[in-house]
This record gives sequence, C-alpha cells and structure tokens, in this order.
Amino acid sequence: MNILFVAIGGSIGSILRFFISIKFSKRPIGTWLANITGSLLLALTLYFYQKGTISQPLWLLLGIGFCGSYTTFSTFGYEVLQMMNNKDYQTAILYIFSSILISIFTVAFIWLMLGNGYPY
Amino acid sequence: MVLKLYVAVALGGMLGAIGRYSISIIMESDSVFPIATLLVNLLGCFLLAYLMSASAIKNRISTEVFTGLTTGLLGAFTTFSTFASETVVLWNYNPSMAVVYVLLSLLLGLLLAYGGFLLAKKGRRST
Repeated sequence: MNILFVAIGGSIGSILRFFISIKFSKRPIGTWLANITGSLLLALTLYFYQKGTISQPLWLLLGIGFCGSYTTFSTFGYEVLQMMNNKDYQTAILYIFSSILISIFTVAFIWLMLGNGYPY
Repeated sequence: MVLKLYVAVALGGMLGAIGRYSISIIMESDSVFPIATLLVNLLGCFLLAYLMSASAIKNRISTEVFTGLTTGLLGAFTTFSTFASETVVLWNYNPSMAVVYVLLSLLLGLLLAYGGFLLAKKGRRST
C-alpha cells in the first residue's frame, strides 16, 4: 500500500518537472527552479509530518513521492557536466553554488521560522 | 505527440520513485548519514550521463521510451529536495558531516557523470 502512494506522487512530480523543463525550453533554469521550490515544499511537508499534522500516507505521497521526483540530482549533475564540457566553467560554478546554497538555506530558514527548532 | 511523452515520463517517474523508496527501506539503518540518498543520486548521475551520451541506444529506441527512461525514471530516482533537507538535519547534528555529505554528493556525482559520458563515448568509437 505504501508503494502506491509513493508511485502516484512520483508520477505527478515527474510530470510537473517535465512540464516546467519544456516551458523553459529544456534549459537548466527549469531544473534549478524545480529543485529549489521542491526543497521548500519538502521542508514544509517534513516539518508537519514530524509534528503529526501530516499523516503517513500523505507524507509518502507528497514528501517521498512528489517532492522526491519533482526534484532531481541526476539532471543537475548532467547539466553541470555539459557546462563543463562546453568550457562554460563560470555558469557551472554559479549553477552548482546557487542550487545547493539556495535550497539548503531555504530549508533552514523555513524550519527556523516555524520555530521549535528542527523537525528531528 | 506530446501526450505520449507525458505518459512515458509519468510511468518512468513512478518506477523511479518506487526504486528510490525501496532502496531507502532496504538500506534503513541507525546511522544518521543518508547513505541511501547518496547511493541513488550517484547511481542516477552515472546512468543518466551514460544514456544521454550513448547515441547508439538513443537511436535504437523511440523518443517516448528515451524520455521515459531519462527525464522520468532517472529524474525521479534521484532527488534534490531530500538531499537539501538531509543536509540541514545533518548540520544540526554535526556540521562537518553535512559538509562531507554535500561534497561527496557533488564531487562523486560529477565524477560518475563524467565516467558515464566517457563510457558512452568509448562505446560509440568501437561500434
């Protein structure tokens, strides 16, 4: 039963990421946007799951399924590789640092704002 | 046909998410270090770069199957949001572990992506 929730969330998350990537003509800005907004949504979902506001099935659907699949590490890595292969090191470094730092700071900021420290 | 592409991405995404979830259950441990996420992200980086660069495979399968495997399956198998959350949780527990996690994910991910790219290029030359 758990797998069903993950599967449904996973397919919806992938569709949305694909839709955004097409809107941005498959440029890395689509992946960048999905990774940051998905990290934000996961931080909220995880917080309310830990607090007991979000049930286990909803966590599997929204957290592990949707947010997990809406965001991606493999495409991020491949896009960086392509930038490096094109010797566009400046964009690669900007892309790496902005993706990682903005997503991490967004998560930390949300958990701090919600109070009671971190969800763990 | 765009609708077919969306169906392919949805199916691939479903399988990718199930794969990621299964690995997280199989590898469940008492350790705080997120080894399961690291594993799926590294494996996904290697496989995606290989598939994207292996023109022999790309030419042999339909655009739908190719997009389902790359954007769908491997896109959903790997995750950035869990990586970000885990990094903050680790930082709270032990900052140096968080730094190690980010560096391992990034450096090994890029190295493996490069490895996948080289392997695909090698295959291209020999065929």
